[in-house]
Amino acid sequence: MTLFVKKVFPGASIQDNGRPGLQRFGLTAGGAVDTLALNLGRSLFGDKSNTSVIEFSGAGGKFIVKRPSFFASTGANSTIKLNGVLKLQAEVFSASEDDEIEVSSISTGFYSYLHVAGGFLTAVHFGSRSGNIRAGLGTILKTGDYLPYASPVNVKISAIKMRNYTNCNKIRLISGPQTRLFSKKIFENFLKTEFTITSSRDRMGIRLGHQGKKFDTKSGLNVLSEAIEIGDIQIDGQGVPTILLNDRQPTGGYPRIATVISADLHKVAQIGVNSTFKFTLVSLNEAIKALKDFTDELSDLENEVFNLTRDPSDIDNLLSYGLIDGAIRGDEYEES
Amino acid sequence: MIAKKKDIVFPRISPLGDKGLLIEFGNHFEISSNKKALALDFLINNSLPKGVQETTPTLISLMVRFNPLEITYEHLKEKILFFLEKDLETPTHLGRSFVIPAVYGGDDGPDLEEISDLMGLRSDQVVSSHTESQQQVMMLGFGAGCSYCGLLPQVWNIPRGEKVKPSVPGGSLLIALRQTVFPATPMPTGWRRIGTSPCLTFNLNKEPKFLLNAGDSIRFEQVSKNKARSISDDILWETFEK
Repeated sequence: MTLFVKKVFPGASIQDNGRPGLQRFGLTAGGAVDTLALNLGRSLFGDKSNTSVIEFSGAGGKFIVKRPSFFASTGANSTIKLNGVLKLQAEVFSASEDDEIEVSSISTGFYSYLHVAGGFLTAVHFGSRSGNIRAGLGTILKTGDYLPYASPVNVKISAIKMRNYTNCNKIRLISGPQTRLFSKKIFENFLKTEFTITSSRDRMGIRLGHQGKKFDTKSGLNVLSEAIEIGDIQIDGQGVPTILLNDRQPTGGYPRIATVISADLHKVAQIGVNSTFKFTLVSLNEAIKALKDFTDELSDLENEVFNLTRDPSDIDNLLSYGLIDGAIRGDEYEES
Repeated sequence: MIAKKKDIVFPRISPLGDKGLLIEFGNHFEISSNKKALALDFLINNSLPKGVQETTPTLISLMVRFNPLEITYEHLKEKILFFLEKDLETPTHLGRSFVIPAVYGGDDGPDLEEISDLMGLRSDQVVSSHTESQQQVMMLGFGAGCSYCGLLPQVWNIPRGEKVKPSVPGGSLLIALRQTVFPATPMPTGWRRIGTSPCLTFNLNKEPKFLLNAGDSIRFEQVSKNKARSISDDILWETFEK
């Protein structure tokens, strides 16, 4: 059975790990922009496979549950309600047939996720359900859609600590093959500049705003079409930087001044519109160390998950819980 | 610090992000650089080092994506240097060959007249020159299954158009800089459109889903609009050995 899409704003799609390995055919991998949030949700369901989720960009939607199952919301802070009653994010909740789930008011961040136990079972292309508008692959949500999902098996009502997306004001980058095309002065100025996330943003990239001089490229600086990596920061003909993300073009001819490190991709993608940040230059070794730490964080998520309904025999400090607070003697009425 | 071209020795290997390695064979387009990029691409894929995930050849470079927690950049660079010692001038493999039907001019090629003027030829001479040229798929890029083919004779060295067309259909034959760009899905373009093939090279119901690969060889063949209507868009899959 399915989840009925009662109302959805543009920019919502089904996402999973994407389809790596096809850039040589002109197709970038796509996949969930915030891999930490994706894996946070998967860990709640004890899920180690490539399950898919709904990814919201800046705005949410309303859904009607057509078969009882378990859901959870992760990613950017958003309001999630079950039949109008507020639910906590990063916490599994059950929903019955005809219940309404509403995701709204995405704040402090940009990408929010709705997980269902076992994942959504929408169309697969090249081994992935990820929606890709430009290539017409996977599923982009539309009002009126029915999204199939698996029958829930062995689901525990569990929770995990939510991540904080408010303090990402330093984004690390490393220099790249085309950094040399910019003068030292321009590159230094780039690293000193405070950037703003503009509303020109989607799964392809984020256009940055800033005060002051444009990052002029020398005349005739357009480079030959070359493979674009995720996190590459291209400087267009107007001197405006854009950070290229999961659904970027596979190749491009604008010079790229530097590349955001893998461990900070989800952080930069989660910075809200009009928020500011600066770039910090790090070495390749520091980038690899950060990637190792991030990979470890992802694989440790399962150990962070705790059950909300607990078996009393698992609670070693049971007596300290004050379980009999509020009990009565039984003769209170007789005294009065 | 203005980069001096003479400071750079090609092929040049550098990190592209923390999971990528880029090998550049030059800083301006030469067909020999493309052939080297494709030869290296073939060699790496033929004996894939552990930790390497994918390679993307483009006009004069090759990007190798890898898992840096499985193989370090320095270690991978050593392996690439070993491949680079081999002869990359002589092709080690032959791509497949395709003859692709196309309708030239009219609604299917609205810029044929303009291109003829730029080339100083009659439009039938332009079409003959295009259909007689054996072209290599030099890279795929921009959009899914969109191939960059060439090189056409020197007379085709015309710039991109000044206006961007918001959308041309998959199968369009787009011309600039001695190349034919042959998209498989609708896309915006600043290139001039001289024709349209009824065939598409990306089909989710076929195997392989992407028909063309860098290194393949193609030639276009002129057909009438009527003939084109009778050609199924997946016919090219019948013309090669799987």
